[in-house]
Amino acid sequence: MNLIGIAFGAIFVSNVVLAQFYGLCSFLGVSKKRGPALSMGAAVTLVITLSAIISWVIDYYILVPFDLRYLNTIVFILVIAAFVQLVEMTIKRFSPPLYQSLGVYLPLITTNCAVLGVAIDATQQLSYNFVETATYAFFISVGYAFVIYLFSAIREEMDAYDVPRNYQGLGVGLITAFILAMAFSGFVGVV
Amino acid sequence: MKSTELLTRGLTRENPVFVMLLGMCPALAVTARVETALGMGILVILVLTLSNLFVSLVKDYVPDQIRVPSYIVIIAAFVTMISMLTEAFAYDLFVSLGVFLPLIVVNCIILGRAESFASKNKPIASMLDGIGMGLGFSLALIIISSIREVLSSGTIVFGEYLPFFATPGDVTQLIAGVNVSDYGIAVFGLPAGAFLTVGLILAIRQGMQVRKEGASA
Repeated sequence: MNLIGIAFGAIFVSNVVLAQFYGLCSFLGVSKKRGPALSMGAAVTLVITLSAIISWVIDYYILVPFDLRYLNTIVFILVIAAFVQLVEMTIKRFSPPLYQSLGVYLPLITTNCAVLGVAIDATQQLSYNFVETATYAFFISVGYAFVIYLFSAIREEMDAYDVPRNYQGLGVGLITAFILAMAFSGFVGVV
Repeated sequence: MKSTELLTRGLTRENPVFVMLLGMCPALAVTARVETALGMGILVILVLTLSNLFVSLVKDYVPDQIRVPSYIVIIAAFVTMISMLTEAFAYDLFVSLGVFLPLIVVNCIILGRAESFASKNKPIASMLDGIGMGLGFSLALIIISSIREVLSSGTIVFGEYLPFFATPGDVTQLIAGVNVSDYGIAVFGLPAGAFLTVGLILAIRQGMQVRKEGASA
């Protein structure tokens, strides 16, 4: 499979949020305003890409040769937790305003199921080599950032309208996500 | 707090999915079929009970700074064990849950309960809280999956993934002369339908709450 195919498929066809249901907590939680949604998308892109690459290297050079693959959940979650801690310290050191705006959501990236899900998918379900894994991980997280930004823009726009009382809050948010998911399902079969 | 309250508060008043909006990923992803949802519910009850018990037992020995990573390792160990047991005794369920089985590790409900309840309470109370919250999560999954499976295929199939049904079949066989499977709405079986179902359930819940507040005011 060529890299362009992987990239397109990762963003649109098997979109991480709308088709695979990874990372819904942050998708629904951090999408009220466009600014934080975009920063969250950027932070998640960084974490998913690099932790998937590290996980792939550990899986390929340590877990598979020593027949330890059944430990992959524990190993990957430790890699992710350590890596998120590292990103947090780096952002705090070099960009305090960004650190402020991400706030509590930064440590929560550890428990964003998109990160562990992509690491497990990239090593187990899909038999990709190193370059393909890096491409897949980068573009799947670009798909996440794209959709969370789109969703936050719609939700911001929706504030101006009078939503029926029972649907206020997450109810109408989920129905918006339903329409977005319907639109994205149009891409199925393109790649 | 009384033990009956610990067991039942997760079902309605503090339901983890519908009220606290935790664990949305599995609630949307494995609910296309009632049976996979039930299987996921059982596994989460097991992991949540065991991890709450152990977190509560070790809480006094874990330094505060590395609290969360330690809890995650405890949870990951139990998830690995449970997933190996599932692979051995319910292979079909193992295959159909796929990546969502290891993803129980990052289910916010489990870390949330460890952090907010088990790290502050006694072992027995933490176990009961784990069972109660797990039951609430399972109830939410069963409600969502029943609606989705009935609307998408017109029936509820059982005996396909879980090993404890004697004879596989579906519920329409129990009602003679009914054939609703021709009228399925396919979208409810697809990812998009999951968002719609949960959105509508949240709206109904909010409506009930508004009405109750209106009646009492």
